[in-house]
Amino acid sequence: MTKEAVSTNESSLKSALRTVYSNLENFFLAPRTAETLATLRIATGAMLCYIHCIWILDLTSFFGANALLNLEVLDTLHAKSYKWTYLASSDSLAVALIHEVLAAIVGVLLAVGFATRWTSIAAWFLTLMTVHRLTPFLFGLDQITLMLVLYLCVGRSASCWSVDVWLGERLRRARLRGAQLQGGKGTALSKSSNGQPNGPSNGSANYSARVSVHANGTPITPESFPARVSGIVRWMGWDDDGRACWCNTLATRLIQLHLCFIYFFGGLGKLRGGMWWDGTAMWFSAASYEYQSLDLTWIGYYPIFGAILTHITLFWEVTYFALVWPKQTRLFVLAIAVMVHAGIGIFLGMITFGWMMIVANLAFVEPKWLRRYLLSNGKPNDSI
Amino acid sequence: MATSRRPNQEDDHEESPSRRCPRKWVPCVLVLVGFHLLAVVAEPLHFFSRSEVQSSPEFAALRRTFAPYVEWLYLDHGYFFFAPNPGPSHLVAAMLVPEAGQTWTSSFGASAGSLPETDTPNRVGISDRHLNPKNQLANGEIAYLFPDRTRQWPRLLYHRYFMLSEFYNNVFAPSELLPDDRQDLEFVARWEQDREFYALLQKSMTNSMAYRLSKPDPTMDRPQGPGVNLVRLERPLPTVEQILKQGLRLNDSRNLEVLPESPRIPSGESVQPQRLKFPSIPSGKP
Repeated sequence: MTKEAVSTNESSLKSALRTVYSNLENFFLAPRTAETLATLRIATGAMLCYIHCIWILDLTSFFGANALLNLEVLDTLHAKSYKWTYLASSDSLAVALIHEVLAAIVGVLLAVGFATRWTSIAAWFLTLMTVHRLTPFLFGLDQITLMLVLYLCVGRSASCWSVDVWLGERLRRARLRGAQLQGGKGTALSKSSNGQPNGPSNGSANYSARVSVHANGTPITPESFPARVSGIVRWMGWDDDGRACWCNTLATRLIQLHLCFIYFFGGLGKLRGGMWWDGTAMWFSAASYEYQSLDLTWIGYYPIFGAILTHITLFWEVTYFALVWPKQTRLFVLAIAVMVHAGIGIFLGMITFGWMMIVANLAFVEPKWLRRYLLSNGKPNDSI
Repeated sequence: MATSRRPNQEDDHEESPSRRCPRKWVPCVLVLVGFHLLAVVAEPLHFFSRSEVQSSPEFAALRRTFAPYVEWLYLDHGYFFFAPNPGPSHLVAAMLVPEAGQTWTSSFGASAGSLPETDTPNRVGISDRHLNPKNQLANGEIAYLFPDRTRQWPRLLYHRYFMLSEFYNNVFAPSELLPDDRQDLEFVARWEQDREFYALLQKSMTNSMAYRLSKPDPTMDRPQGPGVNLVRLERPLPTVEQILKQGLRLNDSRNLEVLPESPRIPSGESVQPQRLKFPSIPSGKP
């Protein structure tokens, strides 16, 4: 091979690698706004609160000296693994109660978006501690909820529909008023495009609509506050101006990819089973009394219908990871996801799990679509 | 005069100025993302690649490498939802083993009265009436059953108990091995470990059940509860014919089978799961 040919090959390889790198960067890190993550945050926070309330409801069965799973069993169970929780160091009911109450409160704070930067991490950590203490009691709900809250720690989900945004605006306004009273040199409340002062955020994550500026055009930033206040504002994340951010894309992509893995391996698992091939899996799922919440055994009168539902579920799950990305098939795939999980929730008694899976699927809904849908009173004007 | 910038709602990526990832961070972030995604798939790949012969060595190595990260972050799932096939459900029944003549009241208010001394040991007196909290508790009858949607509510709490009963059944190790199985020393070693864990779990659950069913005595540190024996039950999945043609109800307790703790009965013959015999229940449409 001549030197020119080698050089050409090298440059084309470098060019291909640069393209891959650039595509990866664009895929994972191109900034986006936070409406999707905010929706996930609200649902996940509320669910975390509910989960911890359930632990509290039967506290003595789950924690304490008379727990169903005492510390000796837990030690043996986790002896050869890297699972650690401070709840395994003591069988004190008081510690467990404090922990669970705190976790439930943090779940609420996460849902409303208060100090989200910290409450998301706290919610994840406290739930993780519970999860490692109560492993045998867990199922898909815990997997999906913990997965979502982990990725919410990465994104800036509080950039919209949050108390943080509301507080940030209040602080900016207070600062503006203070500036006006002290001399009023060229500052005033920001106004929206219709001339009305901006009130608490109406949910839009628009940087431009939310930022108050001095008359000279300088945005009012935390530096505009006294040093002590600005430190708190920054620390609590109240300086978030709702700009599109790369963290949001990263968090969203991680949720999307994780969801693809879940469905792909779930589908592969089903491919191993004869019932998913012969079309009887739907019947046997419906005929499990312990799962049943609404009677679905009438499906036995329509074996072809049952078999079709079985196969749709199987093929949808196996192909989800590929068909959810193209815009042409995404709506179809997500619609089936909603139907499958709603079915699991309504008929198979796992309303919490079904609901959280639907919520997780929202990660594939573009923020702009959510914004338009929610701000136009339920009239979407664009495709997902 | 203050101004406000015009909202721009046209695109998610165009709002200016957006927060972009600093250039020098990008490679580092992408590497971390790659690491994390590998960790996410490590467990299912390992889980799927196991057979009776071996675990696929590369996936086993991947799983081992990521073990601390995967396990502590609770990423160790195979995602086997309803796979490979929907299976039978498992329940756990707490059976009372009181002293003769003992009288006590259970924590859910069932007055037991004098408990009969004799009953067939394996005769689990389960019937639909066990769902009634006012049932009479007698020797050999179920004092507490889980999962039980009438006792464990809301549904999420019920599901927690359901998962525990499935876990208890999954980790079951028989109290003894058949002579053929004793030839394989590796198998025996694994059984000993499994049996030890199962016995620990059984003891923990038994104590908890005894505590739950006992009347708390304020004069003692821990209340003195009745003796409790845990029984594993299995509800096989019924066929279409059984439900729609024979009129069997999904919750028909005649379906429940008592799962044996040992593969042998005293005479030395191996046993099959015992099917319970119950008074006939009127059949009807489920």
